[in-house]
Amino acid sequence: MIFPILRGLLTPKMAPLTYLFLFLNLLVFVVTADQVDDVNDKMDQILTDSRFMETQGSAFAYMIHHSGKLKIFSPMLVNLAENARKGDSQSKRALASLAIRNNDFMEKAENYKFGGDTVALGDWKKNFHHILELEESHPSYQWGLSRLRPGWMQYVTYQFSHGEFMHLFWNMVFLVIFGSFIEVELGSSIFALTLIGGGLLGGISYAFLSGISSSPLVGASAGVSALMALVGFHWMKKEKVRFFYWLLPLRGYFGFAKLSSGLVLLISMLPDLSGTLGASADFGAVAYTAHMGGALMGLLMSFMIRRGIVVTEPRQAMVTAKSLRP
Amino acid sequence: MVLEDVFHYSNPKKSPHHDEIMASPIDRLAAQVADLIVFLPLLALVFAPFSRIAKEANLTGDEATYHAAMAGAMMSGYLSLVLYQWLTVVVWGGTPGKLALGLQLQSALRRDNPTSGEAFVRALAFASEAVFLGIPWLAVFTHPTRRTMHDRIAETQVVAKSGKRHEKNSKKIPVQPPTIAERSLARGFQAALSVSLVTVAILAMKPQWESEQSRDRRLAHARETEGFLCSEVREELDTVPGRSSKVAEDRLRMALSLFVTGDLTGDCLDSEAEFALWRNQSRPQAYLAKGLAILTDGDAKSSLSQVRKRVESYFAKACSEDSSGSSDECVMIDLVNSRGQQNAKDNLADGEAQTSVRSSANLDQVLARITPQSASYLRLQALRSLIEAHDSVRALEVIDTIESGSHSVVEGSRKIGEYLTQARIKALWESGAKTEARQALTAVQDAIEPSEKLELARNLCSAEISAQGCQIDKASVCRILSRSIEHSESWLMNPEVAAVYAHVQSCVSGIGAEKLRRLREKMPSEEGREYLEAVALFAEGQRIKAIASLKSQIESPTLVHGTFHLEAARELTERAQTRSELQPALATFAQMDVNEESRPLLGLSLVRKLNGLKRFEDAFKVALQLNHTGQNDQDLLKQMVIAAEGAGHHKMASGLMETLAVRKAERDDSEDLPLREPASAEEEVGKAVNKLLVPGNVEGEGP
Repeated sequence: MIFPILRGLLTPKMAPLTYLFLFLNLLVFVVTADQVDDVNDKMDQILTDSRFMETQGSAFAYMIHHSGKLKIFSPMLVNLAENARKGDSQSKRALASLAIRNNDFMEKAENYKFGGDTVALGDWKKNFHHILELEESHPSYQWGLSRLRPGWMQYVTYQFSHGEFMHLFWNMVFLVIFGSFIEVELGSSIFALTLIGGGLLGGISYAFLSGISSSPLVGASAGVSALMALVGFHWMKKEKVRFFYWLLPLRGYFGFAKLSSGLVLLISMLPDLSGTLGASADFGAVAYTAHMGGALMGLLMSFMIRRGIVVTEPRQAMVTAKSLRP
Repeated sequence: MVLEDVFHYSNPKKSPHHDEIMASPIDRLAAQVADLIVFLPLLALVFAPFSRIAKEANLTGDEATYHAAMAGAMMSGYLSLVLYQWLTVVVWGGTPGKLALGLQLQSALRRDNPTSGEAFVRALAFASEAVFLGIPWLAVFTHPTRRTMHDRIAETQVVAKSGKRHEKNSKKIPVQPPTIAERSLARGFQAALSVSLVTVAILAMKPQWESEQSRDRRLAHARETEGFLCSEVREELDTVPGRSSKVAEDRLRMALSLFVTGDLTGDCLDSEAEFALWRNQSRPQAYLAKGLAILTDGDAKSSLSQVRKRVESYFAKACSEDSSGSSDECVMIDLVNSRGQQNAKDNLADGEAQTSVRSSANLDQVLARITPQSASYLRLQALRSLIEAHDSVRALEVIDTIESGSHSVVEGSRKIGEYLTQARIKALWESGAKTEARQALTAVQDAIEPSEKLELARNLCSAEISAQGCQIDKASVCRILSRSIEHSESWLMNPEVAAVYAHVQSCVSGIGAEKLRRLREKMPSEEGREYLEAVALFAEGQRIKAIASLKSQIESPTLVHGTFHLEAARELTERAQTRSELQPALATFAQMDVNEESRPLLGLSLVRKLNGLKRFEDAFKVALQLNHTGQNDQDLLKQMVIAAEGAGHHKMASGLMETLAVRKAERDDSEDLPLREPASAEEEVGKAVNKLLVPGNVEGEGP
């Protein structure tokens, strides 16, 4: 295990803006937590109903089959639809899950004229309408970037909303480590510009590369990726940064080491690149393209600093040398 | 020489390298971990495209692409590891992990940087060891010169560089060969790890592999045939000329017929209905099938009223296109409702379901709407309803019309043919034409599966035992059952068959305790052995002990509802000589649920025995209890007449005699009924009453 520590957890006094962003993220999470849980529970109740899912799978298969020559659906979906129409219940269930993330289905299904089992479809339509209503009231859909709300506001607000606690936790850990480091070393404005700019560029690259889907894009990951990329590129030739490593549970095989900041890029960017190459567009899940957009912002910022396009204002002078000692 | 070095290392002193400052094994282990940290993200990147292709192919069941992607991932993983190990050594003199730990790779012969060729051979060997999950790498803890297999093959060694990290080490003695304890421990660990990993891999992968195999088979079958539907329907349709398993309508008709005969599960019927519905084919039949499937299987997650509402919705849809209500689907729904749905009672045992209990008037009205053109599944349903209503005469008529009609879906279908044969035998039996039923059962030969034939024989033999006790004649069904079991004793593994067979054996006159004990040893269940031990005690003349043993079996809480419970109770009934000895069997009967299958069998035995003991009032009470719950077959009616007459209920007795006469007339009037019972019921009953009412002429004194 290897983990970038840089200068560890700096105090709010040293990196006030970092902690302000941390506070905002925590605040949004706490304020919306109850509503998220409530809506998620209601959605889960519907989405775990096997009859609803089988009908949804059959309905999606029907839609794909009858889209015919339009070729709006991927070959994988077309194959799944054919298997589902032949009676394969596994394919039906898979299609039902994929339907929730599919824009065409989510937009058209409510008013689509399906053939098939009209009794089951009657029940399914009621529940499907309920899902659409729940999505409208879900904080992740209100704050996040999705087909329901693809407005410019959501390109900013999505960065402050997290669906799950662990998602928030790890984003905040990296925000504090990298954010406070950058804020102290390069200044608050560069930190804020990188974080928000990374989020914006992440949202844009997600919209262009993956397409805004029915699942909302939420989280500060793109902004955090921008911070990590900035550290990775900016300090690569400048100086080594501090990592914590743990190789074996023996003395001398764990501790702190100063290593090239390029290792940060290896740790953060390679998994994103793998994720982008390995993820099917139909599956959705983690928005790797948003992370990569954020990393691009970090690279740009590093370039602009080197060229003097943006001026750094280190806060090091404001804090004591002792407190910054590695 | 490489091979020599590889295989001649048992004596470390012979090795030219034993005094080198070799890298410590712990450092090397740590270097491997550090290399993993660097290499795994690279490996994930290499795997990514293969992973996407494999995931998509797995989901769609594209085996060829899936296996190609998996093979590609394995190959690219192997090559990536070779490249990582090779290029890092060529460029930097060691992998990042080794360099981080201050270790260096050198040629064991020249004590210099390895050549590109040596590094490549080492990388190849290293990656090959990775295939075995890196277990061979643990050789650094066992080899006398601390050299792993890949080092020995490439003639390389890993040494500690002079530097900060190893300054302390260089002052100390070089790394020593492993001690015996260390080597033993490491080898033990290696072996244990190998065995554990192999075991875990087998255990973890077996279900996955089996599930994949099953899915692969399903997919292959689906590609070859019509889809993922039930094979039972296809197999039956393949035997029917002019019908195709690729035509949704044919499939659905056959599925409905097989469902009615009990040869198709609700799940299968549901999938057939879904197949037709989502293709907009045979919609009324498909809605009917959906409703029937839900009615049978229910839905664990839905409340009873929700299930009922869904069934009603499907039935309403099935019948919605026919305003007159005369379509096959509408009649079928009415038929299902009129027969009260035993399944509905089981699955939806609520007040609402009970309201649709069988009504003979209703059934008659619905049956009148069935025409010669009606679908075969509808006729089969009518037959089933009639059998359940114990209307054997009309059931025989329906069987004749189905078999002689031009319902091509039924023609050639083995399973439906079997059902009709069994239904005919049962109907003949119930109508009183027992000789014909026995003859039909003997004559079926290969017309029905041996297991089903045996099951039918078991049922009828059990009824014979209840009706006649041990007075089993040569033509009895029990003889057929006995012959089958004597031909193949493997049938004894079926506890229900074994129980009835054991009872039959207990009736064999003159059977010795020794023979019974031999049979006892063949019984698979403890209950069976206990039962036969009791019977053997009777054969030995230890009557009191035998009766006590049977009583304890009947009263045993573990045996209640067990297979031998009924046999023990019936055996006691047969052997009892007094009312008090009969008491445990009577108590068992009183505790039985009215729907319990064995209740009428024990009840009839009790009525017969009580008549034999001249306890006519008791016999009459038991008979009435049976009669009130719908049991009114000829054997019971005959015994009822005897009991009523004996108890002084003469009016009742003559009424019952009339019922018997009407039944006989019905059978005689039925033109299509080919087989007849030779003796009339009245004659038999008259003889029996006279015989029983003669003082001292009491049956059941016991062997």
